[in-house]
Amino acid sequence: MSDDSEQVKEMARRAGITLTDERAQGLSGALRNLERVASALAAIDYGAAEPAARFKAPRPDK
Amino acid sequence: MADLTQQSLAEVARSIESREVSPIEVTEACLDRITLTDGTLNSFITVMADEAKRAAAVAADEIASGTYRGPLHGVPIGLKDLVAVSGVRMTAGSKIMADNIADEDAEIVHRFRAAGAVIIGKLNMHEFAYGATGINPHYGSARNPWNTERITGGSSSGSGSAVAAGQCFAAIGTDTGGSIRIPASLCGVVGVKPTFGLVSRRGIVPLSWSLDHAGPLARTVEDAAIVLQAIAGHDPLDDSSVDESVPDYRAGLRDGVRGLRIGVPDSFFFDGLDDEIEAAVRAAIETLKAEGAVVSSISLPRIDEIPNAVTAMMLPEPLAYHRKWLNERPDDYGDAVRFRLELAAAIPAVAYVQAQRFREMVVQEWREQVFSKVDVLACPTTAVCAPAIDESELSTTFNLVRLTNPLNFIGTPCVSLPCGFTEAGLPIGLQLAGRWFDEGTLLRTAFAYEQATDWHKRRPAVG
Repeated sequence: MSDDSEQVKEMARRAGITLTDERAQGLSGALRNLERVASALAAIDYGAAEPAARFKAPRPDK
Repeated sequence: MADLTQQSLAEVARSIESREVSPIEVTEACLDRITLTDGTLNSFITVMADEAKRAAAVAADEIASGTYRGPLHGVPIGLKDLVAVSGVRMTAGSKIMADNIADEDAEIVHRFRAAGAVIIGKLNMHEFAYGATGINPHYGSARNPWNTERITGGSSSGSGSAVAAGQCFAAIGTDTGGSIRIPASLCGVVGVKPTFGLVSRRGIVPLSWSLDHAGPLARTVEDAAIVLQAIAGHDPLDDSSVDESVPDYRAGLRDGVRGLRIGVPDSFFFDGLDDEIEAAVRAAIETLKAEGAVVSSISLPRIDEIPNAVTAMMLPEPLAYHRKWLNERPDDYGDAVRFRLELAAAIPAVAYVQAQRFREMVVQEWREQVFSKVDVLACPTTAVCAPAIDESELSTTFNLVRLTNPLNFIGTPCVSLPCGFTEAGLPIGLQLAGRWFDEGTLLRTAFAYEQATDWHKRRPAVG
């Protein structure tokens, strides 16, 4: 197995998912795309923004 | 009498109210239409013929005795097969839930029953709503009434085909990344994704809690407004539901767009379009301008960054819901859905949280920098028209969702409505987006465009 496949398998294990070597191999090609997503989000300056426990759309101005 | 099934919901409602036709005749007409066309279209997973006939008979008795509940009374409506109807099979388009019988009604079904609507059946969909093509390995794919070798789009695939083909007068879809608007666009009908929180999701199988919306597909803007009116409003038992007043959406439909500020995005939404789509959408914007709207270009803050955040939310949330089944019955998922679910484990928790922070930040920026300057945004719904059914699902999906899913993230209300046809005869969708909870302005804009054109009067030749 490639390093990427091992990484996918390990991440799945941590998420509680059991992957066969074959499934992990098939998913490994997409790993770099997800790393790019995570890197892009890591690079943003969020200031004081907090995550909403439950997103609420803005209410109309009264 | 003209074919009842080809009338608009508003037209048939007027005929029912005036007792020119009975709900029984209307329901029988839809059931006959389903019999005639569904062998080709495969819109339905479950046709509720007996239940529909009983509901129609009750509606007929009520109306005959002078109790008229309003424009949905006695009108057949279809539901995407992830909306629970007590005692009726609900598969969510999956093998996993193939034998599931719902034990109570979804909140929107309660509301339809209160309005006297006739639930005619459960509609085909992408497996667990997790895809934009409607290609379904378990129940077969719904087929596009305009060309049955083409997809309907999804995930509310059967909702799009059933409404376009006159199998029902309106349908409910759900929209996590475009799944109401995409089939509306590809099937040449109207689809409304309401503001996040306007319509209850209680009793609907979730895909991604942060992004799921439920809303109507119908053949005209007025019909969509009628359905939205019935299902909108606070549900105290749904934590995503917002306690906001619901205006009369039909009351302002005919007020026109004179002076309305329409923004045309200066990037992203017009990148890489099929030529025919760009031409049709730009012509539609010119039509709105001719109707009196003030059209200007607008920059959308951080639009290029939003898709990353959507990915970081839309992968892990479905995995959280499906994890148990994915471990116990992995082979019962279709290939594409299983791939997405398994891939989700590779999204780090911190990326998910950052995406939620990003959402709060961007929504505020759009409020201050977009919807202070314009009332409505206008752009295409999809970058391509209906692809062939045999095209690869994963390669097709990106072009179907890339113009719709940023607006799920923002949570604004959106409408897709027909704005033309390609030379090959495939529908093209115009997407309008408005301020949060301002569905009224959005529907008014869509109605003004619809009335200035005749795209909505075309019907596919199926059956």
